[in-house]
Amino acid sequence: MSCRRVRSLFSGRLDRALSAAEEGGLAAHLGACPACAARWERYVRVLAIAAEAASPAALPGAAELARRARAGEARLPLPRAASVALAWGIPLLAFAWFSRAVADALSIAVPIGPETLPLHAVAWGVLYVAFALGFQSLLFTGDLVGMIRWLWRLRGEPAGSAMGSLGALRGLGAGLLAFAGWGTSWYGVRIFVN
Amino acid sequence: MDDPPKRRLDPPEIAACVERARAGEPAAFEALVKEFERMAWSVAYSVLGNAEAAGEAAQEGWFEAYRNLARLRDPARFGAWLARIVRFRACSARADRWRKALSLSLVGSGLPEPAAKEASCEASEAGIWARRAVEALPARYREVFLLRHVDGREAAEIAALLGLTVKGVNTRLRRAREMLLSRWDREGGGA
Repeated sequence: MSCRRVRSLFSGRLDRALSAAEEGGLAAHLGACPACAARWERYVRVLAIAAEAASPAALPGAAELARRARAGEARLPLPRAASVALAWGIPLLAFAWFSRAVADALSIAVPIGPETLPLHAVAWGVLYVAFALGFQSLLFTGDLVGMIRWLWRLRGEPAGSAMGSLGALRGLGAGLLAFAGWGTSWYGVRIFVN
Repeated sequence: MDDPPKRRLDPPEIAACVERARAGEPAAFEALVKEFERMAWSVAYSVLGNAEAAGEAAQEGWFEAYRNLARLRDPARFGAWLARIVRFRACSARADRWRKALSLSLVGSGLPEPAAKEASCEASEAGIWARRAVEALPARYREVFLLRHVDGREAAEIAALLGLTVKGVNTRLRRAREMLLSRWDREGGGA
């Protein structure tokens, strides 16, 4: 039996899937060939290390997982369409309320006139950037949806997972960004119109 | 490397558990979880390459399976059905991750790399190397490797779960093992 042939049988030997003749030939070869014997030893060791490293550190366990499912914590996630509607609807409603309030308040505090025009021009520039950021925040719709679904799932669960929390924080940040961008840019539009 | 002998439920027992679980018997569903928990995690991990995300996807898969138990046509094939659900969940989670990574990359940030967790949870260099090596395997090889070495399933069981032939499973398994050994020889196993 050649070294090449012997090495091709390693996988089968590990699974105890070799015939008696193959197993006998392989064992005889390993006894006589130090290179193949060393390779076999390495083969077994590497796979043992890989299997151990790839094993889950901790699983909830059968009893816990079954309990969660039975207890109704396995509730239906909020449908994606509803999540998307909320992700867009909440910021838009906030925008409608916030922009009106801010525009009114700032226009009263700093009336628009020839002497205050530079101030409003600078404010407008800032708002333009904010608008760009707010527009870009549309890209975060996925995060907003993730946040809403995460919050929905949170009902009744003692603690969110690290990934869920991260998604929620990113979603919250994205929501604030959209809120600020849309709201303040509407203020800029109001100045322009006035 | 001998795996510890593990008592597996056979298809009639699985079917009986499913029927009892449908009837609301708590212990029956628990028995199913016990039988397939590592399998579900392995399938999710083979898609996601991240242990924590795999845990979440597997759990979502279990919840979905529990809710839809009544719709399962062939109770004896519960494992294959669950594997499909978990794989779908894991693919969705992976798509979400990519979308988030894309959106974050536009503002100069990024998701934590899957490898970030390794440093904190793995003590040995070889362990870190091995985890990376497994995660670097092509998904189709990683899946059978995990089901064989982490879940301890035989090739025939894996074939039934994944809808493959036994020969196909053995081929993937052999290639996965050879890839790991080649990489070890090339890189010295993190030494």
